[in-house]
Amino acid sequence: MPQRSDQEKVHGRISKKTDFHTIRSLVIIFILFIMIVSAFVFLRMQVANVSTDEQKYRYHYVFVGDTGDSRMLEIINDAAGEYGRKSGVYVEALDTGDESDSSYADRIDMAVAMGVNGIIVGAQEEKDIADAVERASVAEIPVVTVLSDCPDSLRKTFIEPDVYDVGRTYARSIIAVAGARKLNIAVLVESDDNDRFMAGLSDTLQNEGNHLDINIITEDITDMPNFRLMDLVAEMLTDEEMDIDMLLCPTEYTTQIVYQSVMDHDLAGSSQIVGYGINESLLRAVSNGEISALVYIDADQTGMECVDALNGYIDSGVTRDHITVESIMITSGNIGRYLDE
Amino acid sequence: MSRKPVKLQNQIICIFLLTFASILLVNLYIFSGMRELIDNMDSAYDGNRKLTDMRGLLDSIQLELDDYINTKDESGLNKFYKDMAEYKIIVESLKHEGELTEQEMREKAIVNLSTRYVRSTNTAILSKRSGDIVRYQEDYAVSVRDYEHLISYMADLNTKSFGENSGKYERIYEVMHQANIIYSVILALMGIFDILLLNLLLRRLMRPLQELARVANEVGEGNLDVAISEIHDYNEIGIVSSAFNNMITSLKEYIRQFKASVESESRLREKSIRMEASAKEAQLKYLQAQINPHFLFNTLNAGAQLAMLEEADRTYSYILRVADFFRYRIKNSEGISTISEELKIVDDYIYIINVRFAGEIHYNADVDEKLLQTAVPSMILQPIVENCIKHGLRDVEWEKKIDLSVYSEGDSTVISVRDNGVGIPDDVIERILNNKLNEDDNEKMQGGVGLDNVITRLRVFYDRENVIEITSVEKDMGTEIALYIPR
Repeated sequence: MPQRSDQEKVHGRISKKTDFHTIRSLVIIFILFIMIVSAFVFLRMQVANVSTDEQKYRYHYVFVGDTGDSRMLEIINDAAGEYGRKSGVYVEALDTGDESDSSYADRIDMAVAMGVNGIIVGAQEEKDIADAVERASVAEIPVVTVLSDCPDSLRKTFIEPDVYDVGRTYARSIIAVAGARKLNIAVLVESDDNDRFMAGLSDTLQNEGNHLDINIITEDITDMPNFRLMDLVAEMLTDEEMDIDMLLCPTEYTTQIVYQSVMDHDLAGSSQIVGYGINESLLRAVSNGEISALVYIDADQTGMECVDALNGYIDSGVTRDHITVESIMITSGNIGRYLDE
Repeated sequence: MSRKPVKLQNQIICIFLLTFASILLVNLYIFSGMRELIDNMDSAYDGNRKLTDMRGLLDSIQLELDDYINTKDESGLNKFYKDMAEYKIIVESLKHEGELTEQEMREKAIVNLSTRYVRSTNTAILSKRSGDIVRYQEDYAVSVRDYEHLISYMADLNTKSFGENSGKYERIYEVMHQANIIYSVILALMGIFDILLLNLLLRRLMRPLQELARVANEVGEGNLDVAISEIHDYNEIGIVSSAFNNMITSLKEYIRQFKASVESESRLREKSIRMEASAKEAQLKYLQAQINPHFLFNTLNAGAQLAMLEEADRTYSYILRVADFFRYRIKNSEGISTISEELKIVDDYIYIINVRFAGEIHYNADVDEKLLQTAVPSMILQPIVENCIKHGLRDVEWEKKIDLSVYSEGDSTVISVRDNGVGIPDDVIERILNNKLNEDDNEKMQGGVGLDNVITRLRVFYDRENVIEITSVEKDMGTEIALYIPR
């Protein structure tokens, strides 16, 4: 085989060097091209994100409630809005609080005048909304109520916590935060639905808390004035004979009063308190260890049920009269999520 | 398959256009992106502005309605209807159907609230005109309620929208800040991208030119066994490269032919030289066979000794001078001598000639002794003197004289030989000085060193032309030959 000449070798080396240089340049150019395109795409996405929300909605619902003052209603409204967004429904809050200076009935009438597709009425205390609900019904706008019902109206659905389940959740809270095997527990009762609540409580303590020796004392506080309730709480917690280890408050209002009494009488830590509701002060109390646990309706599920109930009625013309939702327990272990929200 | 050639100029223009276009495109894209962001910023509060404008108009309408209800002043209604018409136009622009966005849902709600309000105000005005006090009060109350619903919703919406728009404005501002940084980075990357692309394409374009320069350099250094291996014939460089390869091939062929021709000629010349050398060698051998210098000198020496034994002193001296004369000629025919030695051989020659011709040559030498050791080519004077005797003095009737003088003149040593013979015609002088004496003249010089030979040797030895001057004024006025020897 003939030997390659020196010139050919030199030429070959130059050619190889040139090819290497070309390939290296091409690789760098390609990488730069990718970087430039990526930067453009990234920026395009950023610009698109700040542009108008192009999501389309089928229905327009309004949430009538004191979302400005009630943390619970606010969370339920947010949950309904979030779920509605996923199912093509725009849920808009019409605040009934002090800032708006409007009544529930007025807001329902306003919603009717807006021509919305559905109305969610949250935790109203007023008794005169039946007419407003009827006017909505005449305008073929379905109304669902949440937390508080309007039994004599034409509302389509009432979404409420399952009282038996609330009792179960309280029981699980007791089991979770119990500091001793033998416990004296006082329950402040005020509603007509005590039986179901107590049944849920007792059943669960017997089943899941059978390792504990629990003595339950009930105190009826129906129609009791605030100052009297505060005194009663102070007496109970300082009564050595009763030796209360844990105090259960089944409503948000009662919980707030009890907490106030404990703080006023400097009784924090003397007994464990399990309350109901979700507002800033109660959450802070859990965070500080002044309240052991809070029971609270599952807001995500509630919001979802509100939207589903209205969707179901609009789409099929029928819906359930009552829908119950489960409760959840807030302790120092999961308080972070709620404080952040 | 060869491509259609494209001008190098066009290729370079295309490369620059490519990079320019890429930068331009990126800038346009950046400009449009920034424009979009600025538009978004500008329109961030459009909803609030529109709501505020509607609210203002709505307040005017309600005020005008109040005035009419309270005063029943028909003149105020014109303004009411004008404002209402304007408001309806705005409301009309907010109507939407089908699946709607969040903003469109809200606008649709405003449309419905407004429609109800417009209807209730018209009803209130009609009731007022009818004079039914109870009815117009009820209708007016409804219109007030609808107005309150509308402005309440607008206020809520305005507050809500303002919060959302503020958030949106902040997001746009953040994105704009990000965009400024990213666009700067993109421009920098694009600059590097273009420089690399330019470098790559120009390098690709210039590579054949570099190859051409490399090969041309090698050819310039004498290496013709090279060729441009990679020829891209799609521009002028490719054409030049191809022509260069053809040129190398032609050059190699021409050199091959030239070498063959030179070799052939060289062989012929070598053959000729060999023949000539052989002939000269033969001639030399012939001459050597004729005259053996040693034999001649031994013979002359034997004659000289015989003359001395017979006490023939003049014969002895004559034979001795003849021997010296030939010895000098044989010994120094091609070497370097001095003026002194040259004068000695001239003396010997004159002596021999005078013995032969009964002393009829009157020789006189006037020599500057400082110049005696000046080096000169040997055998330059005797041929001149011999020439004087043979051609100048041979046939004259008067006393024959030869005057030789050596002296300095400027930076030369001059040796002058003058005779009083017949002289030399001008045309002959011309031929002598130009070395154009014919064969007959040279034949006459055979056996000695001719004047032509002396002139040639002097010119070669001193590397100059004006080494001799021949002066002959006219016929029978004699001749002077002067040699100019540089010092």
